[in-house]
Amino acid sequence: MKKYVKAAAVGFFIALCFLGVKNFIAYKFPNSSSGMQAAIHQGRIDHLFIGSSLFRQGIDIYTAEEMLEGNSFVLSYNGNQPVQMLEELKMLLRNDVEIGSLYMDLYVYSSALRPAISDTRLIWDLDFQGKCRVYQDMVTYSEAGFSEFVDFFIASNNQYMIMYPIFQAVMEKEFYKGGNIRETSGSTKEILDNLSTPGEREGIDKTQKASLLEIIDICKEEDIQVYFVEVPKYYTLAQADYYVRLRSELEAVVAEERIIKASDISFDNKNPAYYQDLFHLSGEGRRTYTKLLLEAVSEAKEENGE
Amino acid sequence: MTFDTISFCIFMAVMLLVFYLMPVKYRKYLLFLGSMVFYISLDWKVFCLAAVTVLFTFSAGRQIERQKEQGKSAKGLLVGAVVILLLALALSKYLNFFSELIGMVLKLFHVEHSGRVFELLAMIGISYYSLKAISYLVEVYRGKMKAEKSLVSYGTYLLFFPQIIAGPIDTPGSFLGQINQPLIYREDNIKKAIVLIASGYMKKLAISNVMAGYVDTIYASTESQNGLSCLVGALFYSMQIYCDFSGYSDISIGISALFGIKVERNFNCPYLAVSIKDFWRRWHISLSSWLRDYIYIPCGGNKKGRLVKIRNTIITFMISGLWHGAAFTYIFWGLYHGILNCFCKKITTEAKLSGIRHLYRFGKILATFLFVTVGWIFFRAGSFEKAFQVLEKICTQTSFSMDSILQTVLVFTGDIMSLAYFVSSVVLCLLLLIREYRYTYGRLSKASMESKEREALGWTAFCVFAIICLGNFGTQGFIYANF
Repeated sequence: MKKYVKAAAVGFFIALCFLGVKNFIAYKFPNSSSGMQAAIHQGRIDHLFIGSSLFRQGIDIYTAEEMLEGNSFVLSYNGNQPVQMLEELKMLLRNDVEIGSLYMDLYVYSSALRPAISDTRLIWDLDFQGKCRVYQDMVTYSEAGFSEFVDFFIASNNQYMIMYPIFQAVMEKEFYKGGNIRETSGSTKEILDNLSTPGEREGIDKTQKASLLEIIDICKEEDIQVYFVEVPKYYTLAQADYYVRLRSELEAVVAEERIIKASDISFDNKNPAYYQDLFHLSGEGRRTYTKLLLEAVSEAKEENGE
Repeated sequence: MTFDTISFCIFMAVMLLVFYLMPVKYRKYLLFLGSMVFYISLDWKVFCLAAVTVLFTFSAGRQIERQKEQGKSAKGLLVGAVVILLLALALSKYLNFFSELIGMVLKLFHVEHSGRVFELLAMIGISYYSLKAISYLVEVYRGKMKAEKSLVSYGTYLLFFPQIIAGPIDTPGSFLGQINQPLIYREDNIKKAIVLIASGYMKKLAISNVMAGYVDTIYASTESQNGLSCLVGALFYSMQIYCDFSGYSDISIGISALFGIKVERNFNCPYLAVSIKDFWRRWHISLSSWLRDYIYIPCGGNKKGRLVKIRNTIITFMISGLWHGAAFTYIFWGLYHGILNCFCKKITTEAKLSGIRHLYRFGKILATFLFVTVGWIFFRAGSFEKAFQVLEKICTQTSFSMDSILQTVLVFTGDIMSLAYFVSSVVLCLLLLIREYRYTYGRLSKASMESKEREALGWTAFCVFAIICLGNFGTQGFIYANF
């Protein structure tokens, strides 16, 4: 029987070593195409886009490079919240990344939630200090307990780590400077018009508001120009009453900063070819939107004499 | 408190400690007490019904034996007891189903009927202990065993905590024979338990739970999935339900072994079956045996001509479908397997050339697996409309273009990270199936005990690693606990 107990113990020990590598070291694994390490590797980023999957699907990196001077990078994670975006910004600055302009994803739904992680890749990319801070926020503001601890530090990203070389090779083909370069097709009016919109939210979360304000303060200290950008949603969602209410509330938080709303640009959010679903743009939509966004940014800069 | 919770681990640790510290003669009382505590922790209201069932069937068994000893017919008593058990089972599981059925018929005559009668408690365990009680009463009636004199032994048989949620449906003779013997420490039992429990949790947490996320996403929005996604969803569900249920069974059998109770295996590598008949000799063996012994054979089995055999086969399988749940899709699933069983000839010819023997066998295994997977589509879909939609998409819209493949493997927000989950769960499935193949047809089937032990040790270490690092500890529960 001892042999069997030893076998189980060996499996347990290997698992512990594996988890140790994952939590303390793996964030340094080479990654040149997307994520935090790729951003740190840039050294200087003249135009940094930090956001959720809306930015990943919505910002076309090739268009950005054509239209903007200097180096551009898209740092995006699914469901990225202001609380996490703040940690991402801090980690970049901790690693001496110089940032010229910062474009923040003004995503209503993630800002209405209490701190929580939607994308385990963020856990992978953060250093141990960042991981602990993000988890601490979840404990303090979202009553995260033991199961969240297990999800966060034990269960997340193990499959990714085991298959890292394969996935890195795939990621290199999917991303360039954090921007998604895979061509995705749009949907149809019949499908999009019948998609149900997400449920209502009470209002913008206090912790998320505080994080946005802290991002603004950091940008002032570091002399980073910050823009808050709303990626256009498909019209059925964009005109929903509760969405409009939440968006107004979120815009009020950052009212004194530069905001580029979806309504400020002439993007056709009724064109189904531009959308994969109510939130995410297709390849064609991404290119069109990025061009219009950056034209609006350029106009805003001219008005401000920059 | 199910097997995949921390509270269960604590409960097990306490039970084991007290079990091996206490004198042998009191151990069965501990198992009885532990089983009651476990069931009460699930739902005390449902436990009350189970307790009544224990008392009722215990008395019925004693009474049946008494009447037979007195030369009187006990058939009426047996039938009455079985009817009451089936009535309780039917009320808890099928009342609303039949009420809705009546509503549908009345609607044809423009008579309004609300459909659902009232919401009943989800009676965890009733499908399992009811069948155990029926088999006990029938065996006593047939004279194949004596009525149990100890309420504690009988109560433990019916409500034994490793088996109460999702089986196996242990035979009364085997279980009661063991519980009434000294339950002593046996090293072989402990070794077997360690391997089974590690393997069971690996199947449940690292394969079934991971695949469940994918399958649920596909089946929640079949209208927007392509054919390849539906095909992969169907294949994944086949593995999900197998790993979930066989994982539970492994854990149950392993835990029973820790307490000195030997339970027969409930699965014997069913996806390596070479025909549908072979599949049903390997899948949910305890239920198949129960249906054979108490439905199929009493109806005449295959002894009264071909037409009667077909009738009995189809009835048995439809009852199996109905046992799984109160929905037409389950009944259809049973009917589908019944028909396949009727017309599946036992293929005994083997390829003559050894070179193509493996290929021939592999072809039979693959064909059987695909037929079974088609049945699982109806099992999972929840409605005929959805099931036929999935089948139609698989048949007409499956393409292997890059767009189609990417939509299939990146089903969660198109994010490349979901590829890691997809590939890892496929790899784990393949490792599991390869191991089973080696034990069934390959080298390990003829290997020495030392080789098998070495393999078991390596597999145990791997399972522990996979549980910790690849397990999904979500709260999906066990699929077969819902039946």
